[in-house]
Amino acid sequence: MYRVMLIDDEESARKLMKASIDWKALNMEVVGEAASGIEAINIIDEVKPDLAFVDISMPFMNGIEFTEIAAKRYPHLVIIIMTAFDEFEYARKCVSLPVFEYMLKPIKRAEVTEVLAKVRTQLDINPRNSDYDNDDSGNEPDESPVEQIKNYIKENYTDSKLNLTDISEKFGFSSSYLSRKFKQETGMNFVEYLTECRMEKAKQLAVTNKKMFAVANEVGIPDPNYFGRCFKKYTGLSYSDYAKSLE
Amino acid sequence: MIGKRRKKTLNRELWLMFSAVLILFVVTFVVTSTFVSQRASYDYEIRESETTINGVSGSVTASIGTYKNLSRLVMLNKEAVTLLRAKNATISMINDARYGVMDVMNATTNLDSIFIFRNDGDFMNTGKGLYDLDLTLMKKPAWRNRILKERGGAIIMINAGGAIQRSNKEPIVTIARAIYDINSQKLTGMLLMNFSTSMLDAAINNQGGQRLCIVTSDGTFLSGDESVAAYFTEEFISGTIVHRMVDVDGKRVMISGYEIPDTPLIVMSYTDSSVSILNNTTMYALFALVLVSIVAILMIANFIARNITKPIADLTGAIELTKKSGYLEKIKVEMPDNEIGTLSENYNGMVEHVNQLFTELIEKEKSVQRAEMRVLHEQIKPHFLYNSMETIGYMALNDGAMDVHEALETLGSFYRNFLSKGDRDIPLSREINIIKDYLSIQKLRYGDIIIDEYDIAPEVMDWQIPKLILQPVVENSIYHGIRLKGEPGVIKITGYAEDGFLHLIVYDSGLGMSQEVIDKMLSTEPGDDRMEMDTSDVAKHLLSGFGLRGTIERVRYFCGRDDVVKIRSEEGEYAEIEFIIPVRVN
Repeated sequence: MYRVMLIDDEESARKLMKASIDWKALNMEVVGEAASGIEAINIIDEVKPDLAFVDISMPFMNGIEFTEIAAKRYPHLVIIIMTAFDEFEYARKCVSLPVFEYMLKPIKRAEVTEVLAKVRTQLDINPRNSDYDNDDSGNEPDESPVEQIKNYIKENYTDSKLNLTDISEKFGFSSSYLSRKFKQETGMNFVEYLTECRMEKAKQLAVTNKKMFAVANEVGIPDPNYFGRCFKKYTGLSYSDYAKSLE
Repeated sequence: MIGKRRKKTLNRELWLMFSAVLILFVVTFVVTSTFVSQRASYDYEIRESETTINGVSGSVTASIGTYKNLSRLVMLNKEAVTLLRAKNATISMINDARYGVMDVMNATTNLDSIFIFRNDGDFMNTGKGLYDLDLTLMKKPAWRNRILKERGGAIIMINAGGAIQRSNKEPIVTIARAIYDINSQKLTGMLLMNFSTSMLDAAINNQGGQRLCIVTSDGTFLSGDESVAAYFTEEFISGTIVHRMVDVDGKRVMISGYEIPDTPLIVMSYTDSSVSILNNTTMYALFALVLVSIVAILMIANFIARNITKPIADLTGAIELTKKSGYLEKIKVEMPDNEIGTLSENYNGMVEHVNQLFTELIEKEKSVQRAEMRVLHEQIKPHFLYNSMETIGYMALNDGAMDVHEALETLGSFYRNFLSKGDRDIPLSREINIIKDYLSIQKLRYGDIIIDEYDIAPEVMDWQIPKLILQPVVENSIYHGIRLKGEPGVIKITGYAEDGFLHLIVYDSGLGMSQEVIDKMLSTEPGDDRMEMDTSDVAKHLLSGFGLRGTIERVRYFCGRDDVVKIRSEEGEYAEIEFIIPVRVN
């Protein structure tokens, strides 16, 4: 089964896409959704998609910006850009992007199915070209890099584009090795640790009575919706409730 | 507007005018120079002839004076006095007297004869020939009184007033006087001295080559050039010099005449104007003047032509060209650096300004159109529409209402194409997709009354057509064709290429259109899209539809010509609208 990720700020669009396409028939499975480019960058290392549907018009990080980053970090990821016609020409201008297909919204099942069949053919020809599992064991250093990585995260978590693959590249490890090692030594996975750093900082900032969007921006999750979800998941309270509880 | 009449041009007028001036100038010159030269020659002739005549006259008068003195000598001759004093004349007395005057006779050339008459009629004569005397005439008081009136003074007569004639008819000039006795002062007789006309020859010969003659007061030739005497008229007997212009063999000749005072003699002169008065140098100078003037006129004409009329002609020519080309163009012809150049520059400036205004106008029009399109698009916010469709689509899917989902999908697809921005032209294939989506939605509404068929040649699928030209036609077919007929109908779209043109035909088996409606549809007249009040309700309804006429206008604009739309119809049977669009492959 090929792993599919849907990145669209419209929940209904994701739902419709998920429901209307016969994924199984295409040997595909929707394994993850993101409501913004920010969220997608954050969770992509967990979701490990082979294929991503990316909507162009999204707040905080639009589909083009996301595609630029993702194409660099995950060269094997198949990206399909979804766009309404009024943005189509804009998207077309970014021809340098390694995009598999540009598709018009609203979707038409026949069209989507046709394109997905092509994607499948390509993935079948180049199997397991994954950017996530290429376990290069020959490159394992003697000294554990996890402490170093943790320090790096503490210093750089405000960078909203920071993620596992990004750091792996910087330190010269494979992302799967780093992921495994990180879990081994810290007991939590990379994203959980990164989020913890950000949320702890957010909790500190909440004391100063700052508005959520400002805090979100400061801790490296400039999408306040996604920040809100992360905050609630981490603290059990919404940001505003948490801020009230401090008074 | 100008017709067949040749247009006046400045250049032509200029040259016409200068030609006229030139001709006038030459004619004036010739006439005046002829006139002046004639006048000069006339004056010259008068001067010449008067000098000559005065000369002749003076010379004749002088010789007559001499002869008069001579006659006194004869009169005082002792033997002649004796003859006159004697109571009765005797032969011997007459002979004595003849001898007495012989000396005078011999000593005087030209003296022809001497007659001395006594009061009683006896007379003495001596002469060089035979004479016929008219004694009867001599007794008549009229003849006698002419001489006696002078109371001893001499008078000049010809042939003694007709009394004495040479037998050979040669004329003679007579000096006649009455003789009075010195002592008693009584009239004793008459002296008639006759001279031959050769006495006049000297006077004439003195004047050299001039053609001259002397005639009597009745025109009888006496001396000189006899041919001149033929021109005698009595006008010459007036006491002053009289000039007459006479034509001789086509030549103008001046005949002058003068009666020598106290004589019956008339001097005549013949002067022809063959003698050129204006010498060569003068003629050359005049000719040069004419030549210089002509050259000057030509130079002025040329100057005006080169500096004024030619540039103006060029200017109007350039403007004319611009007019033909349909839009304003600057004058590129080289213009002289003067007022005409300024005119041309100003014209160019104006053209630039007007063109700029045109461009601005077009730009404004375009931006207005764009703004209108934008407004149209803004009216339906695609995102809102699509998102709503997706939400509803998901709801339908969730509830297992697949047909609703499908309808929404088709609607979404239709709007996706229909509302697309950007390209004004799209491939035919996309337009066909719009039609298919559109018709499948319409079929949801109206069920099975619409049967759609497509017959599009594959090679024309990529051809570019103006966006949304078929949809309004199909819409028209449904609302004004098939639905009004009340029975199922066919809509068929046909597309094929022929001679580089794409033929797109929308056929419907609906109600059809009247010729009136077709004419209105195809009318290129701008103005109200609606029909006038007296047309049928159907037609009104038809034309107030989705702007089929607007679509026709757009296709015409796209193709840049008017003959790109055809409508065929039979009322109650069918209607067929055909677009013929030139190739544009993207």
